[in-house]
Amino acid sequence: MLPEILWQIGPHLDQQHISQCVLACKTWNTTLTPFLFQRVALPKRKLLPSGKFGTRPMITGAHIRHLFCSPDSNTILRQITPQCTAVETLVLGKITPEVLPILRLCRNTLTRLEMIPNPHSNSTTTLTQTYQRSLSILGYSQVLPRSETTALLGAILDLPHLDHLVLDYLGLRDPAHVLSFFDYCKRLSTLELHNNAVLVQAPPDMELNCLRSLSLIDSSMQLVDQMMLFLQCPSLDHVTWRKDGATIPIQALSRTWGSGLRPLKLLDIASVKVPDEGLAEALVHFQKLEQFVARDTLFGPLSKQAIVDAMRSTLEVLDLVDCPAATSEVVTEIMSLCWSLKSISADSLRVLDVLENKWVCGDLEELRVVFIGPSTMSKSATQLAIYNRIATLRRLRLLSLGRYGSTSRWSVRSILDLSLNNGLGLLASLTELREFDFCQMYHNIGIEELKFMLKSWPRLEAMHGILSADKDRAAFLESFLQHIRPGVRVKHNLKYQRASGRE
Amino acid sequence: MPVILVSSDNQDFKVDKEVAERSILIKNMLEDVGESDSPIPLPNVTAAVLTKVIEYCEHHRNDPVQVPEETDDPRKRSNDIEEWDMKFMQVDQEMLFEIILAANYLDIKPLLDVGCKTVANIIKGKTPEEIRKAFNIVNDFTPEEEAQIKKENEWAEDR
Repeated sequence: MLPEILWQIGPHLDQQHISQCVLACKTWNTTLTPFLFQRVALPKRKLLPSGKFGTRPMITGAHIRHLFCSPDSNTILRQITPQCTAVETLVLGKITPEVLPILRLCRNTLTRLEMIPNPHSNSTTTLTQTYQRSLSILGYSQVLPRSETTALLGAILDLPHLDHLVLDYLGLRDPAHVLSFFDYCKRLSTLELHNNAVLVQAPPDMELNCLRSLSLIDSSMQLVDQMMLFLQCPSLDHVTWRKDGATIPIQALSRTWGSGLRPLKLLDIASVKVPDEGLAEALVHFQKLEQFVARDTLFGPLSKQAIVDAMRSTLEVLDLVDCPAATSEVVTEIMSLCWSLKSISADSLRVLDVLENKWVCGDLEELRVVFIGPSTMSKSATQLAIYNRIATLRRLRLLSLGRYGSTSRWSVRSILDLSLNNGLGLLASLTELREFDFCQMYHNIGIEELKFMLKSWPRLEAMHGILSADKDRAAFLESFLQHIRPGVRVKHNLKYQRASGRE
Repeated sequence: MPVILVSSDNQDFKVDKEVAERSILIKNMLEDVGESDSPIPLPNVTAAVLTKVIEYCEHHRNDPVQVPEETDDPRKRSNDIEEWDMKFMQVDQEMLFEIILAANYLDIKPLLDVGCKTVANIIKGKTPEEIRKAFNIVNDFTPEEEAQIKKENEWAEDR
C-alpha cells in the first residue's frame, strides 16, 4: 500500500492497532510509527532504559502530540524535552522547575495543559478518598514555594494558544499574580482548579467570557468566593463543583442562574453533602440539564422527582454511584420514565424492581449497576430474566455488572455469574459493546465464555476485572484473549476511583 | 447547470454544478474559471474511479457542508459508517485505494473519511501476519528486527 494512503489512514487507527501495523513491513513501519508516538505516557520510572531501547524517544520526540507524565517521570521528561517540539496536550505529574523547558519549547503548540500533583485520574491505581484525605493532613498537597510560582505562572501566561487548563499546587495568593492569572483565563474555554491552585478570591469585576466549562474541585477558596467565580462566567454550560463533605450553596447558585445565564448542560457535584431537598430545589432551576453527576451525594426521592418531572426528555447522563438514598426503587423509576438516558450509573438494582417495571431508556449506551436479589424464581431463571432485559439495550457500548468504582465499604453480591450455562449467551445482541466490566464480582468466566464474547462483540476493546482467582488460569485466559483479539485491554483493577468526567 | 469533468483516459462526465462542488478542488477551479463552460480535466483520476466518486457525490449532494472541527481527531468522531456508504465501499481493494487517492486529490473530505475508516476497519483487530495476508504485503523484517521493534515500542503505550 502506498505511503500516501497509509498516511491518511493513520489518524483513524487507535494506538493498539498501529502497534500491530508497524510490524507488518518496513514501509508500514516507517510511515505509521509517527502515529504510534502521538500519544505517549511516560513510564513510571526515574530513567529511560539505556541502549537502543532508550534512543527511541530521542528520534520520535517530534511526533509526540499528547504527553502524559507521572509523578516520577520528570527526569525522563527532562531527557526527552529537547526533541518534543510539537506537544499539544501536556499532563504533568509533578510540578517542579524541571517542567519549565518544555513549556517554553512548546509554547506555540500547547492547547491543553494539566498540572496536578496527584496521579492522573485515568491511571489504574489511584488512592481511595480516605487515603487522599490523610495525605493532605500530612501536608502532601502543599503549595509551590513562592519563588517558583512566579516563574511557572509566567510560563503559563506566555502560552498563546492554550484552551484547556487544569491546575493545582500553584498556591496563587499574591494580588498581582491572581489578577494576571484570571486576566489570562479570559481566553480559556475550560478551566479546572484543584485544591491549592488559587487560594483567594478572584478579581470581582472580571468576566471570563470564553469559559464554557469551570470546575472547582476541593478548592481552598472560600465557598462564597467559589460561587462568585461561577457567576462571573456568562457562557458556562458545564459546572463541576466538588467539595468533599461540604454543603455548597448550590441552591443559591441555581436561583441566580435561572434568570440570565445560558442553560446549564452538565452539573457535577460529586461528594458534596447538600441534603436531598436542596438538590431538588437546585434541579428545578437547571431544567435543561443533560448530564448530572451526583456520585456520593444525598440524592434521593425528592431529587428523583425533580428529574422525572422536568428532565425526562433531556437528561442523558446520570451518575448516582455511592448515593445511599438512591435506592433501587429510585433508580428503577428513573429508568422507566426518562427515555433520553444514554448513560446511567448506580449502586444496585433489585431483581424484583427490574422485572416489575419496564425500562423506557432503550437507547442506553452505558449501564453500570449491580443486579442483586432476592428473587422469587430459581437462580438460573432469575439470571435468564435479567440477561433478557439487558439484551434489549442494543446500543450498549459499556456494560459494568460489577462494582465499578464504588468506594463504599458495604458489600453487595451480584446474582449474575456470567456463565453461558446461566444465560450469558443472551447478551449476543449487544453488538456495539466496547467495554465490559466485571470488577469485584464473583463469576464463572471461562474459555467458552471468552470465545462467546469475542465472537458476539466484534467491537470489544477493553475488559475490566480479574479473569480468575487462580493466577495461572488468569494468565492463560488473558493470553488467549490477546491472541484472538490483539489490542484488547484487560485491566485488573480491584478498587479505583471513577475517572472524572473530563473529555 | 452542468459541468463537464474529463478523466485521465479522456472520458467526459456531465454532472450538476452542485454535485461537482462537493469536491473543494473543483469548487475552487470553478470559482477561478468563472462563467466559462470549458470541461475540467482531472488527470489523476481514471474513468472507473471517477464514476464511483460521482456516484458518491450524487447520493450526498444534499448533505450539509462539513465544518472543520476544533478537535481534529478522527478517532474521537463517533460517526460510524452509514449503510449506503458501507455498501458503496464494498469494492475490491485496488478500487478502494484508488477512491481514497481520488478523494484526497479532489479534496472530498467525507469520502476520504469513509474510505479511510473502511480500511481502518479491515486493519482493526488483526495480528501483523493477518494484516500482511489481507493486503498482500511481503514481510521484509528479520525475526530479530521484528522483536526489537516490539521491544522499542512497548514503552510508548497509551494509558
